[in-house]
Amino acid sequence: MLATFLAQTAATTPIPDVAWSSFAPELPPTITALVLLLVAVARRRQLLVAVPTALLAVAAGVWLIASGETPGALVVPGAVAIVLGILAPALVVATRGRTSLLAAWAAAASLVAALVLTVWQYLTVLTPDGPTLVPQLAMADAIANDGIAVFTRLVVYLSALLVIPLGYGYLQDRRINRAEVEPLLLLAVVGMAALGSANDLITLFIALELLSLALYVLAGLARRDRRSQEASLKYFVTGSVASAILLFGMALIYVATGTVTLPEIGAAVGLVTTPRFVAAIGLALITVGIGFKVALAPFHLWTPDVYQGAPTNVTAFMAAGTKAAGFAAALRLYLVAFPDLEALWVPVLAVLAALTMLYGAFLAVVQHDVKRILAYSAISHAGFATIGLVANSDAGLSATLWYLLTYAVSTLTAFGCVIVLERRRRGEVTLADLRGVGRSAPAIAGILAFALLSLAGIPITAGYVGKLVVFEAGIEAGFTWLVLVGVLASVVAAFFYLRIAGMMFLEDSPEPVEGPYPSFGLSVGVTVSAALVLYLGIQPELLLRLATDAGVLAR
Amino acid sequence: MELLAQAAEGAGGANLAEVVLFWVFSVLAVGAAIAVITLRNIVHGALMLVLNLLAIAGLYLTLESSFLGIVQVLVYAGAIMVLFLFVIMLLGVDNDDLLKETRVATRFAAALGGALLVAALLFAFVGTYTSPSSLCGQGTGVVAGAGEVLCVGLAEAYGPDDRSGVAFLGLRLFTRFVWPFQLAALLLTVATIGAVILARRRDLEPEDLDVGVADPDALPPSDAELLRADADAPGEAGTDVPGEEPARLGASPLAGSDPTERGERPTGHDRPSDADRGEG
Amino acid sequence: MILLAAEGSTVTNEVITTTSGVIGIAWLIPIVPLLGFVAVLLLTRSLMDRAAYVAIGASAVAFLLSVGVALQVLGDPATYVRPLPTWIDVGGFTVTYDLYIDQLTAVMLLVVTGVALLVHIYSVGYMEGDPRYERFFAYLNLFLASMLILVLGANLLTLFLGWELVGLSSYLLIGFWFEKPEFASAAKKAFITNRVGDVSFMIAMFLAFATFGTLGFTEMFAQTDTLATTTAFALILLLFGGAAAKSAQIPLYVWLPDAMAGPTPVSALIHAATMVTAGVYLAVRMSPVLIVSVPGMVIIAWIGALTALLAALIAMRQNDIKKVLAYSTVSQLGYMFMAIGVGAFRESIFHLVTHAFFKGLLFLVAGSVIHAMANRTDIWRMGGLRTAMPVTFWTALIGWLAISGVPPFAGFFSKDQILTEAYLHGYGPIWIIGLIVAVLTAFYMSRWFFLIFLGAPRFGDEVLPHESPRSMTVPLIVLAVLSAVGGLLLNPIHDGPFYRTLGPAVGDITDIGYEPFGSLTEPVLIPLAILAAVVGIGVAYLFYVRRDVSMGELAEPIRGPVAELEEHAFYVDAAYESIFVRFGGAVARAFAWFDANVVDGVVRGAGAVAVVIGRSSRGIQTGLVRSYVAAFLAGALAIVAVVLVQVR
Repeated sequence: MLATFLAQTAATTPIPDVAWSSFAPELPPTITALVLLLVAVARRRQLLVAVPTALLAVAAGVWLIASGETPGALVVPGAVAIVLGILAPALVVATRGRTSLLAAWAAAASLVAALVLTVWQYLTVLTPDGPTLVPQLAMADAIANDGIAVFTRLVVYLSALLVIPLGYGYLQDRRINRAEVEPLLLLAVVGMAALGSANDLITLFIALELLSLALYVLAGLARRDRRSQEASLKYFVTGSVASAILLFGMALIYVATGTVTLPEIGAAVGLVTTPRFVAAIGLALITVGIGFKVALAPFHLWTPDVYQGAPTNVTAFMAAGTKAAGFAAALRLYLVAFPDLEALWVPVLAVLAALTMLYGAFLAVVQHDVKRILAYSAISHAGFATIGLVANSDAGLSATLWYLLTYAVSTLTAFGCVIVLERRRRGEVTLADLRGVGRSAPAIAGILAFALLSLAGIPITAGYVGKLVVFEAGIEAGFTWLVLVGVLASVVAAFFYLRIAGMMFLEDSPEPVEGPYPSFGLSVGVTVSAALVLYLGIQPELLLRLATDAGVLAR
Repeated sequence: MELLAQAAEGAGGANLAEVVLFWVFSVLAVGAAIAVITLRNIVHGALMLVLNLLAIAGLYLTLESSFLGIVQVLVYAGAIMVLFLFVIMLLGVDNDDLLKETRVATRFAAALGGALLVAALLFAFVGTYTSPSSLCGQGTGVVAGAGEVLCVGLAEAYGPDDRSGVAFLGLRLFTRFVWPFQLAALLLTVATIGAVILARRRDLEPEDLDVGVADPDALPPSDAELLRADADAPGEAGTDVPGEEPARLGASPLAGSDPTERGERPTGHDRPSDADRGEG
Repeated sequence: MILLAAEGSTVTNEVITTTSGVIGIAWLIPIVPLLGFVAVLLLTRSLMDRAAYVAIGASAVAFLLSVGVALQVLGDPATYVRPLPTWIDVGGFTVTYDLYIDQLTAVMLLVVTGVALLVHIYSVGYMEGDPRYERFFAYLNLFLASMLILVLGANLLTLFLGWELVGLSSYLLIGFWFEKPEFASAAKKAFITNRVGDVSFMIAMFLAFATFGTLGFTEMFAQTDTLATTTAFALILLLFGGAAAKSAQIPLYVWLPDAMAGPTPVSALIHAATMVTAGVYLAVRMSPVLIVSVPGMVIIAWIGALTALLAALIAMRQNDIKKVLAYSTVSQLGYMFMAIGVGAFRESIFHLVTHAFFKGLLFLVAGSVIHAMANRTDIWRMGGLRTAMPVTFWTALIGWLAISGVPPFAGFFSKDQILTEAYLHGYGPIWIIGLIVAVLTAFYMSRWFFLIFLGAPRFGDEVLPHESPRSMTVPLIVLAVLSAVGGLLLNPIHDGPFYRTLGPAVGDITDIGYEPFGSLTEPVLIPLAILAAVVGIGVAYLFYVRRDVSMGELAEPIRGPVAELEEHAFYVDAAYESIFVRFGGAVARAFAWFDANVVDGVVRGAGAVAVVIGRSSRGIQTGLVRSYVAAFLAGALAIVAVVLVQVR
């Protein structure tokens, strides 16, 4: 009877349309996260998990290589699966029971795989004929693989990849190197990537919650640190309110348009039959929710406390990744779903952007804690990124994406240096603690100064090209006043960035300072991210072109 | 929602029983909601919330959405409210201090904000669905689609085979919404991890919290040495196996806890936000 | 002297895009010093003192390449564009690393690399024994590379890239002795004032892009015919805002005198010959745009003239050997801007060149003296160094005569031609100010020279002045020769070879239609300029040589409130300090207050804040989350309201 039932069901049930290639980059981090959880549960018997994983992965890889429609079409994902599969037991053996080392390496490997698959996806699936990107919808229109999606994947996977070496030694120092850290980080980054490609409101909301929830937990990782606990709680409570408002807004949009798919919403909101008031309120509430996630004033108040309290590597990841993913979602929402309501959201966002830039810049001036300064700087930067969104053009879209990449690498470098210094100070770093660092640790002070220059937007750094491109997009869209506000804010911001640099190089420490203790991971992470800041500053061509391609939206 | 409006007008083919049930459940829901925020006894308030949720479940049922109605009862009235009541009782809240809002300004602001929101929504909806151009008034029976208002009962929308909507939902969940569904699975995984971390017993041992700190400013004399000792082998300072954390946690309340965890001492300002004020 | 030959030149350059010949390898000019910088920095340990030779070699290569480029440009006059890879390409906004090489570029290249080479050589002796000897040369190379990027860029953005790099590397060089306490405030001041200028520059770039749709020089200059006068006016003022910061003009000159805290070769390189002239270069480079709006140019002329006057007045009462030169530099830069403002672009660049010679020389002389005087800088504690330091004395003599405008030294020709041009273009008041400044310049430079080298020694026995090593004196001699004969060789007459060469590269002023101010002609104007120099020198001679100056500062002949003001540089620094520090602080406090009171006050009422802090410190949970949420909801309501109002 059961057999009949099953046969019947199989005949009548539609098979879900699963296009693996559309979310291939998300698979390695997801699977690695789950396997790492299993490894943590397995304790000493790690190979019990690793070997079956390896067998499955290698088998999957072989099958992928063999099954491609045209021979060799799936060689890259197949090879990635095989390599990861072989790595699993190899890492277990090599790390000899040190779970957090294993987790760090495995997470890094999966993120490299994600980056490789992103590039593969871009080069083969999304650019089938020639260099132009052909946006694709997949998974029953839940995923839109276009420029935004690809670029967001690059930024968030890169950020996560850099955060892992930055955080490894730090977490050990603070004795918070739990087994859950890497899985949470990986799931958060998967959420961010999914957010970047979310093509309907439901996917968008769930992806946003996925990354938020993981970050709530990560922020409170230091169970014995009240600030960390407080950060987690504040983030959670305010974030929940924001999510509720966002969800309310989405519900209203559904009411108004009868659909949750962004392009369909885009087609519907302009129709006369669509109740404009309902759509308008929905839009306003969505703006509030998104504004919270990317920390636009006046929805930014949680940011300083959370950034300061959370473990520094988590803060770095929040700053770099969440902003990129949040803005990706915002770009898609506004440009795909609400182009017909631009008269409503453009002025509102423009005002919010101006407010945010100024507020962040001015408040940072009166801070003393370096992490807090960087938090206010993050707020200010969200305002700059919004300029590209407000521009409401292809150029603006590329500009915002590009800005977020430059901000991500700059802020990761800065926070990486803060981690090194925290290691030295054994605790929070205030401005006064920075005195004499320029003498005792010229390398780290120099890199931090360089990162700050990038955040301030001085040439030869990535941040400069970022600011330039958003300003240019803003001017082109006729938002000269907003760009002027941005220039003003960047001048104010230069003061406090300079103050940090000045403390390091111009003042002497009252007591002899002990040299910083950069670990291997920290050195690698900071150097690579600083090199990226420089590279994106002097030769941004390649990625900037990619950002420009991102102007191709899946509408 | 439009059906709701429709039912309220008693138009569009809704039968009398439906109208009566709508009014009963509506009044019940609103009344219970008011009771939740006015009752002094917190347990009574929670029970009223249950009633409110049940009434809304009833509304769902009158809207032919049986699945939603039953889930509402199971999840909200069942699981979540039971959890609420447990928490309330565990916290031993016989004093209702926590719930009393004494500041007039706050009450006023809350009332004003709520009223404004309700006004805005009413304005938007009433404006939309009472206007002559509203499609629902004409009973054309249009099924979902971009920009077209749903004006049929859900049963019709689900299709002829399934009067409950369960199969419809299942199909949609595994076809159209399979991707968010999978993401939701990850979301639940994360939530579980978070819950595990929160509930981990080892972290709740008394010495692990800062309850025993007597003198917040007392620095262990060996702090500097500890720093140096740790610094010599930064990479290997801790043990890597979770669940086998170093024994430092078991030592005396402050001196034994990790010196890197400076924040656990309530020195200076407890809240980062104080820093803002102080500097302002 | 030929009277008023052809006014301006209507010859324009054709634009040649090429990747061959010496132009093809011109990109090596900035790259070689950059490699030198990297090499010295990376190989500090293994190179040791040989680092200096690597750095000198790099700048020598840059100089030789510049000579090659200059020969090409002179032999075959044109504007050469060397295409290079794209820097930024987004939307319709494309910026390349292309090089733009015309006669103006060639002149700047020669000045920059030439002076830099000499300063490199000089530094071998001057910086000997410094613990960070190698690093100094690395920084010098970095600075040189930055300056060359600035000069070679084919668009405003690449120019700006060099502009900022120059700022950064000069920051490193000024702050080279960061142990010195003055440095902290000097560096801060330099940074802040330059940021102000950068903002102006950036806005100018946006405006230029919005107007022309490009930032490339060739493309922009091709569109000047259709440029609206008002747009040009705004553009000029904004660009000048940037130039004023870099080139130390009113009101942004305050950083330059303080920047003297750095090593003296740095002052010679940065604050005399190269970096500070970047603003002048920018203005002349943009001269085809400048000529569209004469009112804009008039403003530049006036600011330049007033800067020249103010700085000259201040220089009269400075007692620090380098401060005098610093204010003198500000004053001479004012002269250059004055020239630009009155439409004398070529004259401005000519003065830039001669000024690089003689001011570079004077700074190196100052370095040599400081070196000999065991780091003393008070000119009242010097005197009689003529016999102890013969080479320094004779070269200083030439520099002094050159800056004072005594014929036939270089400064005379350039300065006289600016004054003549101001008169002939109808700017009488500016011409008079220029004459006064000429008198003042001759006066304060004579004072400087007399107090250092003439009279009886006023330093104690503990100092034994000695001539500097050869590596320092050779650059002195080279610059002295250039200061002596440079003007005569380059451009002895109005519309001489220098001007004819430069003509096609600068804005064409023939269409403006300048009218002379009065009926005076060159035979009258030139003696007037000479007279100014003679008067200044004569008065200084009476004051500081004929009178007894052995009692130091008290011997200062001029007293009174004006002198007092001059001595304190008209209190401009103090005023700025109080205005900006207070203002910035007030704004920050206002925001912080807003954060603390208004945001919380939404829920609590402002008076309850203290209570709230007390309450909330009971436990973290009650923190300020509710305030955050309240502010959040208030913002949400506001947005809903705004949107609803709009949707009507």
